Amino acid sequence: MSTYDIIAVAQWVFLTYFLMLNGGYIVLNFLSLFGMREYFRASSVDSLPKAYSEYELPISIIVPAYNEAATITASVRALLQLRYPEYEIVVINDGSKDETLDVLMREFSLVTFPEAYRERIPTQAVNAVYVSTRFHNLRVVDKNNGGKADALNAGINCARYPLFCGVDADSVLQPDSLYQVLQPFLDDSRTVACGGTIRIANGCTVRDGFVEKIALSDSTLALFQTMEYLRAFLFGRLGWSPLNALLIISGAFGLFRKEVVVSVGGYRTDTVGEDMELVVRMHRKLREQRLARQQAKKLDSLFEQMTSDEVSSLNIVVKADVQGSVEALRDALTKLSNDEVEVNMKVHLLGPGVEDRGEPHLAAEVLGISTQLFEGARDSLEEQSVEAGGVCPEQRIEFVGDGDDRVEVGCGKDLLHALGHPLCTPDALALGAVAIAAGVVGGLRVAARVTHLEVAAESRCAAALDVA
Amino acid sequence: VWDFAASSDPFVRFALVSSLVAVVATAVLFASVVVLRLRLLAHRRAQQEFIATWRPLLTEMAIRGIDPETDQRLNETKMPTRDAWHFLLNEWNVLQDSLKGSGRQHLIRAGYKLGLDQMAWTMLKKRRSLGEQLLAVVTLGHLGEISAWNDIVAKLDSRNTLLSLMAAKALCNIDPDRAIGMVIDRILSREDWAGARVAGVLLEAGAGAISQPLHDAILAGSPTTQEKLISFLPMVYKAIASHVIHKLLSKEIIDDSVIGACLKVSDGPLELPHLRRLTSHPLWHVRMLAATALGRLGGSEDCRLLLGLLADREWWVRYRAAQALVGLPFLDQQQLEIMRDKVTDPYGRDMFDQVLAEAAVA
Repeated sequence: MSTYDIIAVAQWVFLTYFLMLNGGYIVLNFLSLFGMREYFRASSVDSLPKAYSEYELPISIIVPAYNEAATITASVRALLQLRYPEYEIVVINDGSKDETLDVLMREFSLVTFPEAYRERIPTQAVNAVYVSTRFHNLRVVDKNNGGKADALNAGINCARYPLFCGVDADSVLQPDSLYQVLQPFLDDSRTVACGGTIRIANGCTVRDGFVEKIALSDSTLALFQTMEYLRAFLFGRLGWSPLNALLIISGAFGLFRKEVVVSVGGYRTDTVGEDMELVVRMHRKLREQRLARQQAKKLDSLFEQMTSDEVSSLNIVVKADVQGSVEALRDALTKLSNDEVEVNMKVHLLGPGVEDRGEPHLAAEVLGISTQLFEGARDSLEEQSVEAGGVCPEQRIEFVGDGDDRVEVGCGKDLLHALGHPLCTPDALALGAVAIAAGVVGGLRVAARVTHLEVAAESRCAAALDVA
Repeated sequence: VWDFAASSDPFVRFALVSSLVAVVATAVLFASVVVLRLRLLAHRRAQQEFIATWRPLLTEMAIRGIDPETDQRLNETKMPTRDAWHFLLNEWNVLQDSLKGSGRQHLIRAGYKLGLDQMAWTMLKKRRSLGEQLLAVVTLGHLGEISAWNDIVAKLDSRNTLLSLMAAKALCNIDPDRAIGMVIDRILSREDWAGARVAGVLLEAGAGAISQPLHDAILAGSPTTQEKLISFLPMVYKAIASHVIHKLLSKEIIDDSVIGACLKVSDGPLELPHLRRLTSHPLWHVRMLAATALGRLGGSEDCRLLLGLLADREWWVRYRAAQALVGLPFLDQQQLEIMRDKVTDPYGRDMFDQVLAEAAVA
């Protein structure tokens, strides 16, 4: 490859990068504009159903501080003046080498507090916990240096309330910040985290921890920083949020449900972007939980819909592997049972050459699947020492419907797997069983058909029933 | 430039076109931001001017009703243009929410005189924006417009959380007895309704309307239903709340989550035998809630139980047990310190120290 070719390829690479980056920013900006317009429209109504303050969740504010002697007093004073019914402030002195702890002790009249410290998330050693004699909602935790993530974890361990808000020691909050950041938790009770917009205070007049006058900095460099913060916090976050794809909530000001954070193991201390890493981990865990809930819900409502005649046809989508599919179906079918109808499932091994044209074959016919044996089947069975035509009682699918209705469906997982026919998978036959069982328990009013059958080789995802 | 680009190789042409697209998109964005900002400033200015004129007048009408003097002032005041309707509706609704009794009735009469019902109907029917629909629903609710019932019920199932909550509030304003059944159904089915906001809606309906339906729904409901609704029991008549709690706790088989919900709100001495029994429940959160409840309701005979809970393996159980002990009104500092010295479990002793220190600081 000549130098010219390399330059030509490099040109395309750079241009593609430029387009993707700027295209992405522009799309995000448009999304955030729509988000902002909706926000203004909704906020034009002041007469909301008032949040009943006794039901508002109290908040623990966690302030990690490392060598913050110059600013910590003003920050804590400002936090003490926030407007919110119930909150506590936990300052973590993360092994500061300056006078951070002395300043705090002097300014807020701290005394040693016999905290029964509980280490839910492992952290560096905690040396002492102090409490203010003037402000009963202020505690200071003195610990060995372990970084910001470690300090936040220590704060979470000490937090008494169900929500915690991470705040940088040099952040300046507006008096109503907690109300603002809590709003999404009130508007949707499924909210687990919310971040505030951070802006640059360079050029602003700050007095006693509050912004008195908003202005831009005289420094060109600081102006670039202001632009970058606007891009990242205002447009970036607003753009990602409607997609439920917010990947970062700034450690400088973010509100979290404590138990969710603890359940994912808190902040990781071996990474640089601990705030982003935590949010991504929370996304993953909660998405997995949602998936599991959705599947359970579908199955729970299936029987109700069948008995109330709401379901006229049943579309079944299966994503299951060969290994474990029968187990998944067994779990799924167990959920169809209730006090009146019992659905049992055992794996039934139908032998080859069975002449009986009973329900198992009916199931297959409903599905349009042939159950005829194929060349090589007998050999495969003999290799597995399975007697042709025999029934192994331990491997049997059995659906017991209401009254005398009874459908037995052969699954023959191992047998059919051995046959290697592409359509005669155990999943396919077991699905027929599901459909017929559903018809039986629903009073034979359900026409079953498979609209889509997908077998993922690696996946161990459970069977999912989609009701049309 | 275009001639140059047209005669260049594909890379230059592609770069030029893509750059132009990016520049145009950025310019559109910039213009949108400027327009948004200017509209916001204009909106705020217009709102301030409107409030300066209308707030005193509306306040006066709320206090005095429509008498000849306020009527004359109203006639002298220029009615807002269609663009400014939402200022009037918003101001009127804010005032409605801050009033009770005769003030509300005066304001409703003033609302009809100002034609707010027609404004709200127009907004609701045109379905222009979310903000207008929200304003319309709340206004019609405050006016008690029974003819709007079906339209507002339709909003109850809106995918927008705020609009559905507003609809619930409006229905409770119009006819709380009729609305409460539907609201309870949605409390159970809508996961997005936050407890604090639901409590606000139930408060709007009033204890008279919600007590019996909540009582019936809890006692007839599944454990999930019971757990969700029990948290609102403090808002119903005390006798009814106590009856529900007593009945649930007296059951032989009861879901753990329901026990927890009951313990959070129990405040009658009838429950004491249950509370004592539940201090040895296998689930830690039930023990914790039992300890907290004993702190509210317990007597001197419960000190031994609470001291026992100080040796619990769960931090929160120890913490609430210690808080319960320290909060008991009949124990003074000296008695507490004697008790503390008798605690042999080191974790329990640490916790007792912590809570005593908290009490000293508070």
